[in-house]
Amino acid sequence: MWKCINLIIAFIFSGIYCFPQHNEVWFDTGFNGNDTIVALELPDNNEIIDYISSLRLENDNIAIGGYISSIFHESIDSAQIEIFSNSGLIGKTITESGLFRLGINRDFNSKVLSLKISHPEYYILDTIIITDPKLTLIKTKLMPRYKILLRGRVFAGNLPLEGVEVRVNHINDTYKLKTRGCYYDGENYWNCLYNGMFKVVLTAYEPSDSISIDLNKNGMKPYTMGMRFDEYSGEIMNIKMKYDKYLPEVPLNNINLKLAFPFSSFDDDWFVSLSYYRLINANKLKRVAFGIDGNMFITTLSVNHETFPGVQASKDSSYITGFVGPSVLIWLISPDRRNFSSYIGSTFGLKLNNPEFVFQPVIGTRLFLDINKALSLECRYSAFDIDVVNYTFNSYGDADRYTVRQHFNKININLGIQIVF
Amino acid sequence: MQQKLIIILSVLFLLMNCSSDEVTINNEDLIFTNSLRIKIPPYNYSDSLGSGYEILGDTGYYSSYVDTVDNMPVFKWDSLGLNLITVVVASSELIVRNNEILNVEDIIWQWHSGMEFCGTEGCVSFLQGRSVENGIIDYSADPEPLGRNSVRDYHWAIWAWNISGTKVLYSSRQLEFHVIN
Repeated sequence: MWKCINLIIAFIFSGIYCFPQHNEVWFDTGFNGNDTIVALELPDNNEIIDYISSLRLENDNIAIGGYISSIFHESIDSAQIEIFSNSGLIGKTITESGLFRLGINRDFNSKVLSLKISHPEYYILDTIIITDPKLTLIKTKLMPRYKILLRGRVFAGNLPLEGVEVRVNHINDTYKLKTRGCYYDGENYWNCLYNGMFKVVLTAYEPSDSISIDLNKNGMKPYTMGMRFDEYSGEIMNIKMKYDKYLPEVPLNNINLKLAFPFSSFDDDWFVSLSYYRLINANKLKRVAFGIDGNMFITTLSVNHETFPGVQASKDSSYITGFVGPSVLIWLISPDRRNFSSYIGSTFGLKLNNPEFVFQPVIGTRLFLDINKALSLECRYSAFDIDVVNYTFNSYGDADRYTVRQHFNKININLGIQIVF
Repeated sequence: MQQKLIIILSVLFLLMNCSSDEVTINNEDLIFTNSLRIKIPPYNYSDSLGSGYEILGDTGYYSSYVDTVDNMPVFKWDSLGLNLITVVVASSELIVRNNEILNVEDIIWQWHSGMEFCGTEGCVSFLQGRSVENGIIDYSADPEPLGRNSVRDYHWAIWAWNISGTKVLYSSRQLEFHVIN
């Protein structure tokens, strides 16, 4: 049952795709309403002879002309026709819609001449002809060369990369391209369908010809690959470039969201931080960054108290201690390195719960995931006081509360995600 | 970019202002009005001489009938499996304000979960508790029987704390009884 429904749906969809395609082919010929397929209509001998005969001959020249088509009956435009005698080149012309004509000196009448027809997309035809004093008609077919539309998409990780310099080398030919980015299409849509893609039409001398593809982009390791024409399947090649050791340019700004888990803190604290830093954009100070850091520690403390004789109770409470303040970072390893660019620094945090300045030294490193996103690992020390609530049991009502100021030395290792720009 | 930054800062601000909202309980008939109920169902007990006493418990709360007991009564309630629980007997009605008993000096007997009970939780005999004077429990001796100094009418109540012992979470109605002999 389902198979049947699938077949019907497939049939409907194939119809949707097929009909417009037919229409495009027919109407693109420009012969609206005419059923003649012009591309396949070959000129007959009389038409060719008329074309050659209309050549205005100089002196006693004799006319040579004809029609060059491919084995698929397509007229070949811009094919080069060369006629040689023993003494060398005596005539040369280019085909127009497959037709050509030229005059040669009558001295070469009835002599064996050599004819060379060449076109970059077809195999060269090298043959001999015997000229006729009235008119020499040549009709021949050329064998097309192996031709491919080489297509590829360049990635960095799983992101398509635009603006990659692509060099496709084939024997002595070099094609220089750039991968596409997104663009506004004809209907004013932001089109990213071809993001990171390149394409080039290549014609081989032999199917076993080699081609090499060189990719280059700032911030990426150069990439080279080689293949043979006949190895290319026709599908879009997905090529992954690797990131270089250094970023293409030193990122000036970064926003960092950091989180420390209880297992990465000495006091089983949670830690959350949001920071913004800007590198000083001066040659000598390119390793110093200033910014602002807001962070908070979530500390869970347990206090015990005696209730009835022999019965102990404990109360867990969470304390949120927030800080905000300016920060300074000094990069020990240059910030344009992709891996393990490391820094030391400090936040001069103002405690939000009560006015108290706290010095929070940090040491950290970061690891880039792509061009503008990085993971950071940071060790932060902070020392501050918390007013811990303690209880005195009251057997005739709620417990009495009192606070005890306790000093805490906190060290945590936090993990962050960083966006640079 | 600016929008994203505003969203992140807003979320951080909200997180910093988070606090646990506690549900307010209001049971006006309980001794601690902001607590959950400990039920005292009707029960019977017998004294050492074999005389039986019937206690109405919660059912007698709205009636003018006062339970009559001997001078060493037994107290029973529906067990809730609580760690910190106490039963008190006072010579006058207990007054509670801000979740604390004001007239502690009127309490003359107390049992708590650090002491023994009948064998099943939710039952204590008078002898398992201790006498109290000015809020101090006398653990050194058995309790003085009730009905001394011509006082015959007493109030009793039960309450229990949360697991951390910081807040009274359960309580019963304050019930009255009259001591004979």
